[in-house]
Amino acid sequence: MEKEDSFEMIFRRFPEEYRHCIDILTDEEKEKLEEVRVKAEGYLVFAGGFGEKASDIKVSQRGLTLIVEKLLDHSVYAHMEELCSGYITVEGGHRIGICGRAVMDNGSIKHIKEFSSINIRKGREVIGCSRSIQRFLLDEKDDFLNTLVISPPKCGKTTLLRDIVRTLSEKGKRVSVVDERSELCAVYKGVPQYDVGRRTDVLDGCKKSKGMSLMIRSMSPELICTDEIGSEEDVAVIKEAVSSGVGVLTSIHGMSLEELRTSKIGQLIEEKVFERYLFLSAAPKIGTVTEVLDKYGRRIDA
Amino acid sequence: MLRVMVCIMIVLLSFAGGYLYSWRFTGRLLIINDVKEKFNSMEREIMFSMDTLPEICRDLSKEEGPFSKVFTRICEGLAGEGDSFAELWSEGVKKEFSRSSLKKDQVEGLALLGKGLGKGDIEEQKKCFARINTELERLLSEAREESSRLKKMYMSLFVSGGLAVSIILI
Repeated sequence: MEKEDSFEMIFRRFPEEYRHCIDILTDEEKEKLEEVRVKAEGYLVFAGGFGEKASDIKVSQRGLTLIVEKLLDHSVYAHMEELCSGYITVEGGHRIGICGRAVMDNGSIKHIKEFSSINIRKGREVIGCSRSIQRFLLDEKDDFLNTLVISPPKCGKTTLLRDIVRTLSEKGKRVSVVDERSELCAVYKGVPQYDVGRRTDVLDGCKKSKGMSLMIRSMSPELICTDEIGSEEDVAVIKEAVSSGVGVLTSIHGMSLEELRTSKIGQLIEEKVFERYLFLSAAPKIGTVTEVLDKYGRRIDA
Repeated sequence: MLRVMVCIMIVLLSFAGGYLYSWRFTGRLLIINDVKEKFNSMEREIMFSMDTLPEICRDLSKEEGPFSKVFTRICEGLAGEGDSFAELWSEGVKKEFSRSSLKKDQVEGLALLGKGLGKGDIEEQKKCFARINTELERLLSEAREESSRLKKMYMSLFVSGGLAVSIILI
């Protein structure tokens, strides 16, 4: 199913009185639609490249509860882990953030009830966005070079990682993805909703440190990909992967190599574990690769 | 000779009539037992497999038993314009069993069983099933007691009536 169709399908699952709210958008606006916010005792607000548009139908508290229950297949108990993370992934890779009253138990969220608002975000993939940097990722023997993608938030790290995974998988590499927050592959009922390649195995919803060890032992990958490292546990498991001969492709929030040298992953930079550093920026547009450095910090993309 | 044969027919017919009339009590037990088994299956699927309600209803609609049709209606409702499982359950039970051998209060009791299912976490589902099992045990116990008390009574009544008519004829 096309992404656009699967996004509109979400509204078909709404209760009858709200099902056609999306029809206030023109076809052009539907294509530019990025997210829909629904608030209890509020209106549906559609936002995207066209700005914002609100429906004229108010959604009651009961209405919002019904919407959430229908999106959860009338089975809240089957989605508790996702719900306690604050979001669920649906068919098409779209993500629905859910707000309400958190029920706490020993410092952890046990349940979310009395839903107050939801945010439906359209999933998007940009096929081919890694084309310009593919030549930097493999050596003369066609082996993958451990790569770290660096940028501030909302610059396209995850989208780029996804496309790199897809390309390498299609080129014949066995890739394992540990998708802790279901953002890279958006697995729904066991099927990745994004194209991540034919030879890619996905471990969804698992902590990076445990997942990477598991995948190395069980799926014999040539390279392993995960998103947003930053802890000491991540450092240890990346070293384990590299010492097992498995390539590592990952990302981190940051602005410069100097900043990362003083962070928790500084050890990985000092020991030259990564052979490629890709820097991204949102200017002039999201996903712009501003420079590519080698393991010594020298620019190689000139 | 003809009279004797007519009397025998009358006695046999009254026996059959008594049997058919008292079958309703057996019918009630069968229906309530069927829903109890189906809820047991549902509970197992939810507690151990975490299957969603639409998946569970689809499987249960394929099983034998008077309640399978209710699950078929629910599947259609959940896939279409139906709003909540509890409403679909209640509607389904009333449509299928309002003209069955169940009494009105038994139909009402069964129609309320779907309330709360699917709405909370596993702990809340456990409480729902505890409530459902208690209610079903009550309905079953009532139905069994009624069956043992009234089945024999109606059989005896019909057969006695038939015998009385036969004696009068003879």
